[in-house]
Amino acid sequence: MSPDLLLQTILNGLMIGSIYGLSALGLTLVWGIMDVVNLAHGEIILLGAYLNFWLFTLYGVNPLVSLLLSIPLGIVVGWIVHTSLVRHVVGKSGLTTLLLMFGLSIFLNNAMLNLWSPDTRTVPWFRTSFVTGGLVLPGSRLLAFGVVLLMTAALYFFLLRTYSGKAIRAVMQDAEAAAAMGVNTAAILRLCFVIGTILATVAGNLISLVLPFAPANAIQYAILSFVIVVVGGLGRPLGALLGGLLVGLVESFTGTFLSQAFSPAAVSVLLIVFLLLRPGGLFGHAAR
Amino acid sequence: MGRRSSSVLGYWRRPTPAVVTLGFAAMAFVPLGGDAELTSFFLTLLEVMLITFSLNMVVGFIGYLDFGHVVFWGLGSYTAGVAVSSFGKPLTFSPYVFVPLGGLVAAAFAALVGYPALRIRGAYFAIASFSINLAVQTIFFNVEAFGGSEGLPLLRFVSYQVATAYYWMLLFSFGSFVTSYVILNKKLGYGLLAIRNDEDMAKSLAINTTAYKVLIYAVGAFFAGVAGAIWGLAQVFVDPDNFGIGRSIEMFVTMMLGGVGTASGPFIGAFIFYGLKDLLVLRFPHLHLVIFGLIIMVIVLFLPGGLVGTLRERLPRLRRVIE
Repeated sequence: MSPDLLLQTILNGLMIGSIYGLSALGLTLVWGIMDVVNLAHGEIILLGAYLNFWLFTLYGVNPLVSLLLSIPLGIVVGWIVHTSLVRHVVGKSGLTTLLLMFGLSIFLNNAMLNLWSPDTRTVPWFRTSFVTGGLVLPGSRLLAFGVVLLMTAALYFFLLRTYSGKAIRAVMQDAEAAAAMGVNTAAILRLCFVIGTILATVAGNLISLVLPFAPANAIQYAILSFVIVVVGGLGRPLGALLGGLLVGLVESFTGTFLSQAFSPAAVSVLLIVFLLLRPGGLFGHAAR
Repeated sequence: MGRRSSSVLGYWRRPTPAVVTLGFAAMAFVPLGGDAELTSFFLTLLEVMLITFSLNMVVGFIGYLDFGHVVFWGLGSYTAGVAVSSFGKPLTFSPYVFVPLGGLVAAAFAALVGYPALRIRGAYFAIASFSINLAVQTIFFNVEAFGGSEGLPLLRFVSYQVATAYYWMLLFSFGSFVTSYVILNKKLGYGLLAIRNDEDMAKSLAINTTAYKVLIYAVGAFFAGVAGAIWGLAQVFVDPDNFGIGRSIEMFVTMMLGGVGTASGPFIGAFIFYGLKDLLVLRFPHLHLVIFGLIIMVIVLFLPGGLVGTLRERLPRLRRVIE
């Protein structure tokens, strides 16, 4: 094989993988801090994608504007889901929380199917590609890659430098001790859930720029995010980003050398390998 | 739990098994009326009931959220489909002899993947089981020997027989109820429920948790595989959409309506589910899955025990009557 093809496969994997990483960031934060696995994560990602699609298709709004608008969308969705559902099951058994989020996922997915049809959608914007040597770099993917880096940097600044961010990390380590230090844990959990949905809607917005999407894809993004959380280690933002890149590479290599049809199977294999051999993720401990 | 019955026959003096058995006996008369539409309605009801009994054995008994349970159903249907079409000509005997084979293949697969997969817990198991289903579905979608994305039409080899399929489904639905009921009232059942409540504690009480989990996973898979095999033969068609999420939703809703982890829950749940589904599909042909999503959320938040579990909790006197 040619070195160009190899390099192109790696670049494609990294560019798509970075978006996967961003969508997994939200999942890993929520899961790590409140032990709630948001099975409706894929649907919330799609809400961001549809926001971009409808604003662009109906009103010709610049996707950069809807990228900003996906933040208030994430806040509203996160607040509603947390207040009406998640709040009531924090601390309950895994069966309870998972079934609740399963119900939400079915509800949202079929609501989208009914409202917006099962058609596959794309946002045809910024389709110019930069060709250097034998490599093709689509503009929209480069842009998405840049936004992911920006969002991750912002999240890290928030987690490391602000009071709320420090409180989130404290609650993640030990909720009781944090509460004893005067941290309002209920408010922190809500904040954390809302940040998770913001990251999801932003990721969805970026996905709509680089990939076709339909309601049926929600489950695929939820699974990808889940695998990335396992690969990167639960509750580790940087792990999620690197895990996303790894999953992106696995997908693009499967696509180049085997067939695009087998990439879900390859990702499943990656998940099972990690669960059995390194359940703590890339940098985690072996024990759980 | 009430008194321990000394023999298997003793169970039949208790109300739950007696009433449910009578219910199954009454359903045996359905095909006699000769109304094919009614028979196929009850066939689908029994099919959901059977697969819900099998799902309940895994989710309800050991608390492992098996989002990929439908994989056993699909494997059963493909086993029957491949076995039937391997003859290359119309069968001279009943194709339903392959039904137990479908169950056995599913059970063998469950034991094989369950041994490593059941070591992981909670959400990890839920997604791992879903991924196993996805991987298997991808294989059936892409391998031409299994008909690829078009599936396996079986009409060249077997004919369409609703009544035969119905009695096989009835037999195994009843079998899955008896199995659930007997397991729950034996040492095995106490061990399984101990695993559900606190797996580490169960282990420290010298319960061989791995063996228990793999055993019930394989038993559940057997009944799911049987359901798939009968269904494939009844429809004279096997397709890779059999592994789809739609079936999973149906069995989860049915299980939760009846009561997770109860012996009679899937029986009652199947009737409520079909009552609801008929009501909803007629009025809201496209919205009914939206409403099922809502129903799941409402059950989790307000009726976590389903119908059977909630009645047992609210009315302690009923504890001996409904199980």
